[in-house]
Amino acid sequence: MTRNLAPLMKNFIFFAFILLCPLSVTAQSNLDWIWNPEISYSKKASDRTTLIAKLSVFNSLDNASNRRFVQFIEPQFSASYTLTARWKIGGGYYFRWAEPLIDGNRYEHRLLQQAGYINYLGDQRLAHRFRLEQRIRTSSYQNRFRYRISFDFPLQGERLDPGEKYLIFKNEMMTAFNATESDAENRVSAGLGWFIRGSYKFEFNMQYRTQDIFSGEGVSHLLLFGTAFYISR
Amino acid sequence: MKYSFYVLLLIFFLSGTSAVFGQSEKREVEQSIDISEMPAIALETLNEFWPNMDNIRYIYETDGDSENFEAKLEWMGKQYSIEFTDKGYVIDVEQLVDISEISTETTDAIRSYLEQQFKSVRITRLQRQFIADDEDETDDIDFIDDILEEDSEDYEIRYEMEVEGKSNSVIGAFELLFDESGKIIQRRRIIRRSLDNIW
Repeated sequence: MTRNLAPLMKNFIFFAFILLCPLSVTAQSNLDWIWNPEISYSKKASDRTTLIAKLSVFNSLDNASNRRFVQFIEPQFSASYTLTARWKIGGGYYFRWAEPLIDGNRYEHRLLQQAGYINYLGDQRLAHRFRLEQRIRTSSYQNRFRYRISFDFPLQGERLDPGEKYLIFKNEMMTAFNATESDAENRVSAGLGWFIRGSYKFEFNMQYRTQDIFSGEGVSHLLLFGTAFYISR
Repeated sequence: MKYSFYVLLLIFFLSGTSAVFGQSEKREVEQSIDISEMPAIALETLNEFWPNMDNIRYIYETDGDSENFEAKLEWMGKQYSIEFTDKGYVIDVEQLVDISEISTETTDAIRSYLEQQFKSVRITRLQRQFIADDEDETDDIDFIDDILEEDSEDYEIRYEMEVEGKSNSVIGAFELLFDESGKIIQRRRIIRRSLDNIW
């Protein structure tokens, strides 16, 4: 283990411990276990414009042996435009197919608009993302505002080279609002990534969600194991 | 539904990974190493000036063809980076500086270049490079001694600057290399990692 790696791994373990602490509190409550595989393909259409296609699936590990295993399938399409070396804006469209029905809806169309600001310290990146969403379901409509802060950094040396690993931490807060309902949610995650080569990376992450904070029906919790494969051209 | 979906996903994933592992490419790698992995001659040179300094970081670099080693240390309030060949001989020394530490003439020339090239620009990193004159190329001790004593007749100075800039035609991060008078020698675009996992 390199000299830099040992303290970073200690920090990672500490962070994962903090992340998982709430589980001991909620172990007996309503906790869902999810495996979320994703594949993302992004392509630079010009010096400033990037197109992204992504497929994301929610699998309920509590229902691994029955037909309720696959809960959501989400194809996603978005584009981003580079305003400055640090600011980007973008928008996109998500489609969600739900099985079984979620809140009585099988389909959801989602429009999003977002802006991001990225701070660089060498190859360490601190990113802020602000997102507005319009969720259009068969019988309901919801606006949502999300703010996410992400930090990733290489584990070996100052630059992330092919074959090396990196750590990534994220926290996202969001609030949903419309005429009849409002809600809030927090998502904190820690992940380990592998930069396979220039265009490919693979990421494993663990995410803990605190949901339905304002619902008045009790907070629910979700533990999500994510595996993501990224292709960027 | 469940199984057919995952069969399709597996085929897609495998087709992607076969492309990944089927290709060979020239790899550029830089990683932290332990002191025991440094060339002995490089350690002798470092020990001559900074004996028993324990906060030196050691880096190994390769582009597939050549191998270099680097030592990063802080001394007298300045951050230094000393690059060595695989045998342990000094290639150059870099010192992290602020633009206010450069002479006015050089600063004016650099700023003039930046104004010509970019509509808006931000300097993110500036290093002063010391390159040995011929007589010191085989004597690393004298070379580093000259730098620390600021005996500028015995080495050549260059400035390596990283900027984030925007013009009508380009946007992004760039590495610029200037000579001691502020004349541009080289300009390279810095290829940053994809943002797809944080965007």
